[in-house]
Amino acid sequence: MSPLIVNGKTEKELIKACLKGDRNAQRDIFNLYSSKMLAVSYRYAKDKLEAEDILQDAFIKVFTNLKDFEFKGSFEGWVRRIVVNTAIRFNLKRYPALDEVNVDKIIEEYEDPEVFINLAEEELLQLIKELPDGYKMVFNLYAIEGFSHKEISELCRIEESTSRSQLVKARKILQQKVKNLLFLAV
Amino acid sequence: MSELDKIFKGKLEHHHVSVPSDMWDRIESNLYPKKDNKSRYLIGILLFSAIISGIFLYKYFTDSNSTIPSQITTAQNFAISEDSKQISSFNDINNNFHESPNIQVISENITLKNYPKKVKTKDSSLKKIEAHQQTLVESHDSNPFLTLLQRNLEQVEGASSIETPIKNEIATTEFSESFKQINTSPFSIANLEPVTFKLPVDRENLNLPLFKKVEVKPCPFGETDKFRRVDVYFSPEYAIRDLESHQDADDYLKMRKSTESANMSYSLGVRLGYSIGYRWNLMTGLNFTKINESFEYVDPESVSTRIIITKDYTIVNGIKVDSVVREEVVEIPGTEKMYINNSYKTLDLPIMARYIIAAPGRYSVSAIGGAMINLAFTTKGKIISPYTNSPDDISTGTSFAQNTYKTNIGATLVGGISFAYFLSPSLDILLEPTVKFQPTFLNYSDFPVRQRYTNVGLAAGFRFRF
Repeated sequence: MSPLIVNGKTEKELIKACLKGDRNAQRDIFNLYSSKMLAVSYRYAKDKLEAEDILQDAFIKVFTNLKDFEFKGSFEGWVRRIVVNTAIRFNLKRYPALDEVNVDKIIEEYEDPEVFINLAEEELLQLIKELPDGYKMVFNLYAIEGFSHKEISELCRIEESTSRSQLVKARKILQQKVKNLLFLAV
Repeated sequence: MSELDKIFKGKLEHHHVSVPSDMWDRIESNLYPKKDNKSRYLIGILLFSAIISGIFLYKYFTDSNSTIPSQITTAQNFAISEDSKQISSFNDINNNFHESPNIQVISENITLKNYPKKVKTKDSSLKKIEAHQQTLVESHDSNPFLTLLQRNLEQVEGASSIETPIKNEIATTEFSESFKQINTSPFSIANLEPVTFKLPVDRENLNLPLFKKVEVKPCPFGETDKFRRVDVYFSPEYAIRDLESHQDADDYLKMRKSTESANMSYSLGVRLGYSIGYRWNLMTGLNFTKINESFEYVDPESVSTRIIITKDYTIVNGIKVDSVVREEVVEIPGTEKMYINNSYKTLDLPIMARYIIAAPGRYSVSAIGGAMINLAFTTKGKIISPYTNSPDDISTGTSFAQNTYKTNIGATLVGGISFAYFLSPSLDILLEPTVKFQPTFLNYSDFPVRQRYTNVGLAAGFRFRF
């Protein structure tokens, strides 16, 4: 992958400039990732205002903790992780305890997932936004961010079984919502 | 990962949402906050403290230049240890003795400064000396102190330049008066014992007996390195709260301010003091502070039900012949009130310095300052939650508290003035007006309202010497 160029600087050069307190470099880093990271925070937030708050807090953490970035992995992944953690923190404040659901009682019966392919990104995003907070958080973390149930249980301070059950229920609700959409479309 | 998950991941993982134009400005303002009023207040407090300290220092040094007895009459100046270079005030006198033509000058200075109200001019001082000359000569031989002084003068380099008895007696007059003052001080001559004393002029050959102070003196100057003390204090305090919104949470800020009010707070602690040099002491120990507040909340959705019973009587010729009882149920909204005592407790390790500004007689005035390193911070009570707009528990251990308040608040800056009154060789009374300022906030940065305190208090306590 070729190095990213912003205003004649590579990503690494920008990060090093940020570490020296260069405000222009900080703004360049922000401009580079903010729209993508706002989309991430928007998936977890209750509304756009909260998504902006999450993004704001996350970028403050990014710049204040930049010295901890060791240039070993992807910088975007590091920023994304901070955004996700900040979003989780916001969610936990609103809903300290997620609903505990017995996973044994849930039977996964899904419609054909292909029906989702035809939906636009905005529609999919809206479907996620309509999920209950607990389900939304677990679905985002598992399906999109790629966390395991064990990691989710640690991040969200819940049992692994709860994470699994939340995911199953989230999928079920999404299926139902798509079904309704298709029904309305017909 | 199911097929459904893959579809969502594929479409949303790299999704973009347009960012508001002012977003970077908001982040930048948080990254580089402008100096707020609190910084100015802190600078003001420091300036004020510096001015007060300056006034004390100026007064003290002005007084000490014109009034030698304040140094001489304290027994400390005669309690000359073997390492006489430690006693700066005495060295000053001896240094003057070094300069042979200064005997005359010294005599004048000492006389004039010693009795500024009685002796206004050189002539009057000489008259006074002449008037007392006979008495002094009579007591000269029998007074061991004066004998010592004269022997000092004779042996000091240049002492031969003392040409007239009057000049010699000027010096002896000075010291005899000082000697009298020693006898009237809380430390009588009975407390003094002869010691070997070395003048800096010729330390090897000039060993003369003098008096050594046995007991501890009220004046704290010149305390030796072995001198330690323990302060125990209690301080009623008023905690001035700094509550500010930093995430456009003005409405929430208003709710907090309207539901919480300050109560009297307090601090108590113990400090171990240790001399690190002339006038300077280091102190450390443990300090506990409890900031008290009241939380009062009226639940707007609460409804209390009241039953009003009305009894009407029909009275004919003064006799109740009938009665009608009516019951009316009234619902009164917003009547459920909640009163909670909130508290913020800190356990700190003070690391402070004390500078002794002045110590006239039994009193001493010191400037104290330093930092208190927080060891633990706990909260208790309830506040309005910014997420539910209803009361939530901030008691340490609850999930709301974990996400809201830190468990360690770093360092608190402390400054103040310490007044001490000498009660006995092992005990002083303390009175210390102090200001404690928290530079950091108690909340995590993502909490919409930031909270910290400046405590103003008056500590009272005791200082034990050992």
